[in-house]
Amino acid sequence: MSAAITSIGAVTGFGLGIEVTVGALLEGRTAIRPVTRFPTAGLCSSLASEVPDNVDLLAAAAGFNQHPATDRASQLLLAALADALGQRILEPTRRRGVVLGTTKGALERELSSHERGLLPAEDVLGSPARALAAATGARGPVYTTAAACASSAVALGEALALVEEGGCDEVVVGGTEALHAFVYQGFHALKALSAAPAAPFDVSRNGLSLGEGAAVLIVESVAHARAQGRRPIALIEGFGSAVDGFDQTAPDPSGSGLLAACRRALAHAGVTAHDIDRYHAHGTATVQNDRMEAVVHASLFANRPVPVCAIKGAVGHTLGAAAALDIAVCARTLARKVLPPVVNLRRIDASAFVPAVIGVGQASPGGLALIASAGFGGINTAVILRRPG
Amino acid sequence: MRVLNTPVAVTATAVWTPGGVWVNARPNAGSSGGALAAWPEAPPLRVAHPKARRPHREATVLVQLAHALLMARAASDPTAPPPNPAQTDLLLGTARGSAATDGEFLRDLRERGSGFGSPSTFVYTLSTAAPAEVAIALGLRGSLATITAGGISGLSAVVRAARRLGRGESRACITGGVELAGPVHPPASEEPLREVAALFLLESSSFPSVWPTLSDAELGFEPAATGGDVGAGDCATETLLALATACVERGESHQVEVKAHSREGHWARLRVQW
Repeated sequence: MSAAITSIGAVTGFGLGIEVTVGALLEGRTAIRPVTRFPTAGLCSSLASEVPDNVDLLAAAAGFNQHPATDRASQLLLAALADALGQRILEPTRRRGVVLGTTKGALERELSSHERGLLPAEDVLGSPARALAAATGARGPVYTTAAACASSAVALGEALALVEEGGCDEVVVGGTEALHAFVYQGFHALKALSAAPAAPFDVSRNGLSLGEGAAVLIVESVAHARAQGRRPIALIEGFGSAVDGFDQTAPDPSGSGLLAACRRALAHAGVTAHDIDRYHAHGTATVQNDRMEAVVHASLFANRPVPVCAIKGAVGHTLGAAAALDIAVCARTLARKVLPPVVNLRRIDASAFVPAVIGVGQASPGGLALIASAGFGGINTAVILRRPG
Repeated sequence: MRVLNTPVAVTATAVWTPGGVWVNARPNAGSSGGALAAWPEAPPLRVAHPKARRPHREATVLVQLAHALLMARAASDPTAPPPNPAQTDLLLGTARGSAATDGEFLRDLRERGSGFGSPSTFVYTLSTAAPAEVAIALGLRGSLATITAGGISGLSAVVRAARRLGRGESRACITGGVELAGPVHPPASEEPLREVAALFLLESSSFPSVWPTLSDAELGFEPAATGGDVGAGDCATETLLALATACVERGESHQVEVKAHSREGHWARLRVQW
């Protein structure tokens, strides 16, 4: 059973609006720039993709009839929701759920408590999901999923399950992550940051660029969408997840975990790898990740040149929001029959060779996409999207 | 949404509180102090996790408890095949997540400088790092995630795991909740945070078994509501202990409903049947 994505919104380093981000991606532009929100002196990078604090963004986030969100992750999320909803009105109902993916949630509220030597008085991971629930009138299941950099892919998988179970007509799925010095300094400690803008699969790449952003997707049963007169942007056909049990930070070089996740998603969708028309990579631009994904691509597609897209050279690695943004971009570009390029990729690394899209967007009539995510702890997910016929 | 298609059995429980450790037995929350009790009989890390490299405290707690959980499952019914690790999921609920480790990393940055944080500590600022260590230790290859839904995060994880198994999406899952405080302090107005780690092994059960089964698992959200039916407020420990008790004690009625409502507005319920 598939579910329909009927609304999409996003905010990234390019600003507010999924179409703003898709437009920039198709032109091959990047939003990775010098960090302005905290000092980076002494760190191995000074770059990130920061969401510009413009008036439209703040107005969109504050536009919901509720207590204003005080943390940046919730503000980004509500701005993405405003973009997703447009003129669509949601009445409160128990038939609507919210599932949100994030790795740190309202982190600044937690850090404020720590500064005073206290534990946070609330679950800071769950706070943005409740902001989303309040803004959408969700009275069904409301919870946050964390699965490292695959967090919002797991959220989408949960949404698909909730719709398939029949308890929800629609589920508001989100992914959000704000850029904080705490996390930036952590990735510096791991020596994972690149001094230059991230360039997935490029021969000269040497690490990732962090980013911040949020995406919101409204997922509903196909029958419910049809009854409401809404045309799906994309259909979610399958979801799969697997842990590789290899290491806390490095993926299994054989790609065993991601391969298992892809095969589970394909089985769930009732299709084979031969049916897939595009592979939307996790594409962090770390050597370990890119090589692992190249192994998975070659194995899964038996060396068939399924085109590879990846967005982290443009919007940075947005951690808990990354998969939701990947899915949002994939759904929109599937609908437009175009492949977004791997921004900053100029010459493909032979040791991580994939048939990547280089330069600017390319036309592609294929209608079935596989979106991969991989996170710390060896967590891997795959989502299958189809363009409606 | 209320009916599970495939029976879901609770085939083992393991609970660690300030009062002690209970495996397939009625747990006790303990009366004094907030930290987990010492567990002298815990499986040594070299046995439970031979590949361990500087595991964090939360990881050690979960690895030892999960190891005890699977050992208890193997001992309780040797005739029933144990779950296949390659098809066993991990889904844990946590309200505090990695807050204790976050505090540790923050102190690290403050004391040593912004460029000198400990990478091994930073890894554990993800709520999934400790469960991932369980997967590495025990060879689990299913899915892995944490769920947060206020004070009923643990019960919410059990509900979602039960529904996955009930729909045939999964064969086995280690689920439950974990709330560890670490060396930081709760607000002065609150009771000391009572630490808890409670694990439940759920298996899809197509064969007659001696184990209780779960049904009527459901989640919802009522933000205006305060208090609740069972364990109102920040009820992680009470809820998890109520579920563990219902899973190991066959009462006079052959079913117990475990339900809870968090102060944040989340609610969850499920039925344990014998």
